[in-house]
Amino acid sequence: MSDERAGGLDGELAALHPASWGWALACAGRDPTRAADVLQESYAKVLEGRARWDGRSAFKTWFFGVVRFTAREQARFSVRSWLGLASDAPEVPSDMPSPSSQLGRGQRARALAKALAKLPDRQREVLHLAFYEDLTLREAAEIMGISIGSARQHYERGKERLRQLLAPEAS
Amino acid sequence: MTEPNRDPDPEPERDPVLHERFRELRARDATRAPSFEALRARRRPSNLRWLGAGGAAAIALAASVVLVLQTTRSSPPRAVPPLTTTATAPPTYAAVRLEPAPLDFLLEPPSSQFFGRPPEFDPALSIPKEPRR
Repeated sequence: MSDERAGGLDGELAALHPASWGWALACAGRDPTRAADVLQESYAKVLEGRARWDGRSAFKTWFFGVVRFTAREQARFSVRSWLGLASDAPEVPSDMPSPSSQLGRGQRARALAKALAKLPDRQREVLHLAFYEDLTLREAAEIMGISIGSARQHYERGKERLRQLLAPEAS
Repeated sequence: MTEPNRDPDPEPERDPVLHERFRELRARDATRAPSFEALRARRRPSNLRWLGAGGAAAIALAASVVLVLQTTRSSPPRAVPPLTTTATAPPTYAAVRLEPAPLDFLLEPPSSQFFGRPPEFDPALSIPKEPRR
């Protein structure tokens, strides 16, 4: 691969990094170590030319598909996931410490993460893509490799279930 | 008058409460995200880790199979317990044999006493022989 092309891809990936991190976390059961492994492998696939963007879809949509595929690929061989050792612990060193004023928000975010963990994979994925990444259902369906009708069904069911799961906490 | 173009797959309405909750989660995740450069520079997880785990599991499985085969082959043949007779049977079994169930007679076909043994003939009886032709 030419240096110019790799440099361009590098810039695209860097710009997309915060969103990609969130998606990698979602695909890796919110385990930061696994998410870092997944994202690193996805970057390597793109930069080494093992995954090629043909320009038929948006770069973000295509790359999220690569991240999803890589997460599934790694989960198959992961002893940690077999043993259910995934955690929401901050195992990756953070650049910015969380301010104490955000404690309430942090608790709410943790509650949401726990509720999301109780949803089936497809429902969790489509809700993440729609609400967290602000993608359309069409884009979500493309990333997940399903029809838009199916994505809509998972979206509606997941939203309803998530509301129910979060309701006791709100009351 | 023409119909306005309608999207066949309109986007569903986004729940503002859920949207806010996801925004908080995104903000929390952002504080924990490793930088792009740090992730690129990080040592790549080796596939040997997965291969090592798989290899260890395969070795453990093979070892357990060998162990099971060894124990089943080397163990002496199991002694067959002697048949329990009424004389040697524990008192409970003896009592069961002495006191059959009241409806056990239904299991016996009619005339089983007679047909249950070979016929016996009185040797004093003379059976006439068929004349030879």
